[in-house]
Amino acid sequence: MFWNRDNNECERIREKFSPYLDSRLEPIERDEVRYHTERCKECQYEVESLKIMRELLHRMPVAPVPRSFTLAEAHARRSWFSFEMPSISLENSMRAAAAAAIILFALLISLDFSGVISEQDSPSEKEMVGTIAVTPAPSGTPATEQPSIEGDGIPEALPPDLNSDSDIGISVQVVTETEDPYGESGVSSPTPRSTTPSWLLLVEISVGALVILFGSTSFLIWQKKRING
Amino acid sequence: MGFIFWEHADKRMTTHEDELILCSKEGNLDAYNQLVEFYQQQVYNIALRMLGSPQDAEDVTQEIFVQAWKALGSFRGKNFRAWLFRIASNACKDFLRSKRSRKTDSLDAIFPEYNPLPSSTESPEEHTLKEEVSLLIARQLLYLSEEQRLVVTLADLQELSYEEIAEITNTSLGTVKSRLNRGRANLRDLLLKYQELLPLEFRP
Repeated sequence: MFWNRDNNECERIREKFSPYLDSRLEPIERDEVRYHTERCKECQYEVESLKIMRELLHRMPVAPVPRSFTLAEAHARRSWFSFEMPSISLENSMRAAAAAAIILFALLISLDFSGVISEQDSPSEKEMVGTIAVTPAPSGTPATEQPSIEGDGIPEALPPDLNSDSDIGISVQVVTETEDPYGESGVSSPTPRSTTPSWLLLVEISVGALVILFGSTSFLIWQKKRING
Repeated sequence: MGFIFWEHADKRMTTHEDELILCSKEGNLDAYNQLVEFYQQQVYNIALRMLGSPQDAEDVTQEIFVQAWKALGSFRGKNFRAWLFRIASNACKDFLRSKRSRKTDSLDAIFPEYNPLPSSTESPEEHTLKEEVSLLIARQLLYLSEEQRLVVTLADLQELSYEEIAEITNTSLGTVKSRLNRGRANLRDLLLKYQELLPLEFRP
């Protein structure tokens, strides 16, 4: 208990040793340090050794300058509104490039799978087939196979006879086909499908290659740095 | 605008240094070079004690004065020295950070400033006493943390006030006092191993 209190007192006093040695204490605090160090041998040693340390440091020689550091005109060109580019290390730039490539790749893939970009939007495609398939209504009415409608585009409205028939539940599927390999143009396809345009595939492959390139480069830099410590 | 600035500045323009700063701000390189000549030894010594290598200190000192010239337009304070030393300490820290990432030199290899061997023209005793002690202290300083080394350098080698050190390091007076306390105590502990090298009057 007493030891603890003394120890805390020593800690508190020792914090004042530097300002004490630099004559930066108020007279009351200075007397407090003096009073304590006269009675505590450990603190007396501490303050004496710190005093020696301070003396030694104050006696350190001032190193002469090896040359003049005045600026020549070349150094001194300055523009008040210039923004200096921060220095970017190779490692960081590679990481940033890899991250950007990954994000771009993910964006392309998601666009591709969501079907936002598909061949039907491609203006180069001339031949488009619109097919309307009528599936059986749940009430058990026999399925009505509607002949496919061939035209320049997708029909925007249902034929009037189907629209007017309110008793039969009708669902409409609009199917686009880029080509008909079996010569069965106009036959309804069981599932709707859109294909990836070739240019998108090309972009995806090149961005994927960039991901691998930047990723592996930054991994190699990181490995080299780790080995070098 | 310039006129207003001059008029405002005129009230406190009492010293030659203030005039030089004002002229430097307006792009007068000769005026700035006078400031460089006045402070270059102090800046070089701070860099030398912080970095340990004369070559690095020389490079960083030049960089500090270039940086200060470019940033002079933003100097609004009254204490040019504290502003300059702040640039200096930040430049030293940046240098040490980049050096750590490169990690080239070992501590023992980076202090060729003092030659511990006595030269033949001087009496061996005189030479070894002063040179060896300062070499030893300079080396041991490098084992302190950057923050403690900076405060010890500014307080004990540059003999600046606590207030000015607080301004340079952008910390409180309390922080300066405690860093100085710990820095001196740590340095003393490091030097205790080499007691026999210290002058007799400095042996505890």
